[in-house]
Amino acid sequence: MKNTFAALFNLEKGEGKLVILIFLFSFWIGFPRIFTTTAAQAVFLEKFDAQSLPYVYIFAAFVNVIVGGIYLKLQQKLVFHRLLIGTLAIMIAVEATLNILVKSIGERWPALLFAVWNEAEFLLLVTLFWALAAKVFNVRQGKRLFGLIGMGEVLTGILGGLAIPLIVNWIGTINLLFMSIGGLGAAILTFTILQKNFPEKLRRSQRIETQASTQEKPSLPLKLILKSSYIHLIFSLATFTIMSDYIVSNAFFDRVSFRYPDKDQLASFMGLFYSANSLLSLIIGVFLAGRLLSQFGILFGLIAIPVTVGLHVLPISIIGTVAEPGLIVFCLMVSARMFFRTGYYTLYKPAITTLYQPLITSQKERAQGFVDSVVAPVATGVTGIFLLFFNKVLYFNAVQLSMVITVISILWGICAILTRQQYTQYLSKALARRTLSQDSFSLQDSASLHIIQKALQSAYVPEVIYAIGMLEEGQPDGLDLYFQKLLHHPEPPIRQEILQRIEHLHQETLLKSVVELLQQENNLLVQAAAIKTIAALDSDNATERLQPYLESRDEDVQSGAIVALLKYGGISGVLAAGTKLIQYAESSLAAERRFAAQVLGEVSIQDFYQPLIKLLADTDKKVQQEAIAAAGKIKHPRLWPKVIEHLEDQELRNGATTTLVLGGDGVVLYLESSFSKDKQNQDLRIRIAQICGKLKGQKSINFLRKHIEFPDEDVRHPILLALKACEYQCSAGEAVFLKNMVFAEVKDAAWAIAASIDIGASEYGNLLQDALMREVRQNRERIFLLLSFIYGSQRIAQAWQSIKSEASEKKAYALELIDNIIPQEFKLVIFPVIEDISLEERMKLLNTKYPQKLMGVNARLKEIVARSDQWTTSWAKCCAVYMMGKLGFSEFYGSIVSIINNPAEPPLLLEHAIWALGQISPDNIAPLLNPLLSHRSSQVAQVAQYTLDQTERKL
Amino acid sequence: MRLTIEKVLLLKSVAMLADTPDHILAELASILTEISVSSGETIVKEGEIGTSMYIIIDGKIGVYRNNKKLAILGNREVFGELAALSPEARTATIVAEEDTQLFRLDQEALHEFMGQYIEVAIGIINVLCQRLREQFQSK
Repeated sequence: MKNTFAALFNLEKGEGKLVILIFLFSFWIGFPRIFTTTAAQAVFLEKFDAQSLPYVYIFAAFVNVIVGGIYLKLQQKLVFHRLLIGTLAIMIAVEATLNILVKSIGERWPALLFAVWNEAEFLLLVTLFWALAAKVFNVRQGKRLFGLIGMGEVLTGILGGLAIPLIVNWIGTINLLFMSIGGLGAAILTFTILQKNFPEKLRRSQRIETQASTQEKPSLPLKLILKSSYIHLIFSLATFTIMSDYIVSNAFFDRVSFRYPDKDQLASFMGLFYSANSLLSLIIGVFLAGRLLSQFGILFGLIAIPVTVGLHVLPISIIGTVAEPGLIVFCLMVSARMFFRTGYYTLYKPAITTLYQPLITSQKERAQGFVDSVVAPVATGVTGIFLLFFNKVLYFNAVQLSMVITVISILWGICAILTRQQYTQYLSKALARRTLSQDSFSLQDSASLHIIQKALQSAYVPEVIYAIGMLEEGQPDGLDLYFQKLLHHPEPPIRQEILQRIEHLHQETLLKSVVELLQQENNLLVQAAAIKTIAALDSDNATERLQPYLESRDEDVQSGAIVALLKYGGISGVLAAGTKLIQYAESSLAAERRFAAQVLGEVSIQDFYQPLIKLLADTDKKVQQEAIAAAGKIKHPRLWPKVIEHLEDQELRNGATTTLVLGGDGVVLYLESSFSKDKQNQDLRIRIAQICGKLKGQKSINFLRKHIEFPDEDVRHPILLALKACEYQCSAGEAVFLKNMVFAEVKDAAWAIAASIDIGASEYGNLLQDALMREVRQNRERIFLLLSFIYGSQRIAQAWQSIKSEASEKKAYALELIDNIIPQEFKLVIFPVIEDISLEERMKLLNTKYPQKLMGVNARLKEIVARSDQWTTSWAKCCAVYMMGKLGFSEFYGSIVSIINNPAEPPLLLEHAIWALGQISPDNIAPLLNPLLSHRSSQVAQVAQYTLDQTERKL
Repeated sequence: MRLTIEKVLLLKSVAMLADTPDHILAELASILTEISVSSGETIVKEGEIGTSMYIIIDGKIGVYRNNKKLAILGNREVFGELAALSPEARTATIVAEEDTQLFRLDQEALHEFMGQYIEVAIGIINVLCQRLREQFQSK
């Protein structure tokens, strides 16, 4: 029953009670809307006449500005619940006072005051209600529920409208105000219950406000809000709405009063019109609005009224120009008014409220308040003046007014489209708001230089080194003087750093200082750095100066001398140092070979790559590690295949990865050739994809793109991640292909969901169920990766990060952003995969497009194991095989044997299949397991041996 | 002989790895070394340079400094993580209090896992924080 109710009203879990309370609140505040309005109009028309109504609008415009201004001030000072209860209490007091005034004073002014107050009260009630709605619901809920919750007021309209004749007969027109007072009291009570039952909703909003006020500068100035073009568009939309509303209303009354000159006939018609209008609004609001907005998006809500009204008034303008306005014009006008009033509350208002959601909290409320309390009254007053001018000066009737409305509708529609475009951009901004921007640092101003000078005197070595880097980057005048001074810094690492900078910048003016430093220096690392710097600054005399250091007994000094002579010593230097280096490279001592590899790396001259080839294949791991690091500095293409081989070695692969990334895009060719080898190791392929992601560039993209459909899910996933890291964007031609990949991922997710339901939670099934749910999460991630390639990586990536986060508000923004970016064809299938709903709900929603058959556990296990690697990870298969082994049914024999008979299967899967075979059918397994005793994976070989031993023992 | 999946099930119950997804644990399991020590056997000696961390699978170990017993660690507890993160002289001697089975994880592999999977790094950071808190509290 509960579920039917939720499905009927498009509610999600946990929303029911909150929606009922907000709906009730809307119902109660509908009381003053129907009863006060009826009483105010009746009293006004009794004292004045209908032609004078535009004067009410003009006065109301002024009063609304004042009331709105006070409301805005109070909004800044009071927390929301106090503001709401306080405003409702003031309304009760004013209604009671007006009742007394109208009854006790016989003059006309209380009637005018009453009519004007009616307008102000309407404005305040609308503002309060939608501010409350925006507080308790997020952007996604808003789109679904705003239409429904606003219907409380419509219900009051239907019931109240029908009851008015009876009530008036009973207590009189002016006493209708007591009905309003009762409604307002009930609204306060309902809000108090809401506050008690959902304190976190209002508290959360307050916390967000507090956070916003500390993070986003306290109380955002109105001037800043008014600068935003997005806000301008929202203001324009509000203005067009009000202008259309009053002019359509005026044209409507023009036709209705013409057709029904008798007051009683007119009242009867209006009663029918309002009843029909309220009923239609109720039906659309409850059953259609949320779904229409969810399905067709916010633009539908924004454009529905201008389009329908435009389609009505355009024919009126044409027909009225060529003929007397008759029944057709009357019907069109009534229909236009009906659509306007119905569409306004059910579609347009929810869409407009959603437009505020991407704004920061303080901006949202101020903008909303400004529209309701300033823009709306001003637009009302101006429209009132225009109407007086049209009616009293130009003598316009409904036909001419329709022409005016046609123009306004067109402008309104354009404004709606522009607002919708900016809405998506603002949603992106709302998600990215926490991204920090970093200002660049320049030494062009004396203030920055002063900061650097201060940092150079710091007692902390890293701070001084950082400042030296900034100095080198900024290149201020007198840089050599700074460096000369720093050569005498008490900390050796700083002297060493300065020497490296002098070598790098080739500052010959500092040669004398460096030579003097070398003579006095005690620290060996600084000595080594000084030797290299001297060679760089005085290459002509390098061999002569530095040859004695080649025989140094200290490794650092000797290394410095070899590097210096090889790099800067010319032929004589290379001959002297080269011989020494070769000796070390061919030494029988691993430490010396390691030293040679280190020196080769430091020299970083491509032509010296040959000794490294041998060192890369050394038997000592530490020598290999040094050789791999040196290869990253030398960057000779002939070294890459050797380095790639080391990706398979657990101890060396980290270093090999770093080296290959340092190699730049010249490495991609070699990576591709290794990746494409037949029966290449899965782990190596994954690493190659990851390296390409780090390398970036077009070559990596081309290689990865070629393998985007790789038939192994474990490899395909890192390929897509790497493409994302490369910021790949597909061409228009590729989009169709990638879209099909998205559908394939959804289809696979539907399968994994059904499989997970079949496996269920059990002692042996939990692990497999977790693995299947991971598959769904990976499907989701791949869907987002593919979407980012098609629709722009940044926005989709932001959305994906937010969807992964725990914060429901962020998730809601992200879903809304996705909703606005991706086309309709995707929405129906993607949302069931990414929204937070139960497995059963997901399956139900996906079943329409990708129907899944539920089956028994055993059948499902066999299906998982037999599934292509393209769509099932080896880990999920491994969990399935383990479950088979635990269940021990002989019907699994065939599935297990098919894995064992394929030694190319991942070792993880083979290992568990061997074990499962031992559990299911221990007899005569030797012929199957013997070939695996020599498997390249030691774990597979060991498990095979262990299983054979165990079964032999049992036998 | 333990299957990789059985190692995963054990690792899942180690607090440090509780938030690490199963497939990552499977990778981790494949590079762990399983060792058995007899009661009274020294696993780690104070002052020695060490580069491995250990997870107690079954058994009990005692933590000693200057021949004084500081603590007893039991099933699924971790020790030696500081040395594995940054090779240094061991700050305590670890002796098996009973026949104990351990998983050993070497520095290189740990570094790689921490680099590749943020969940593992967070787990290690949590253990370090816990140790720091305990030290502060004991002072």
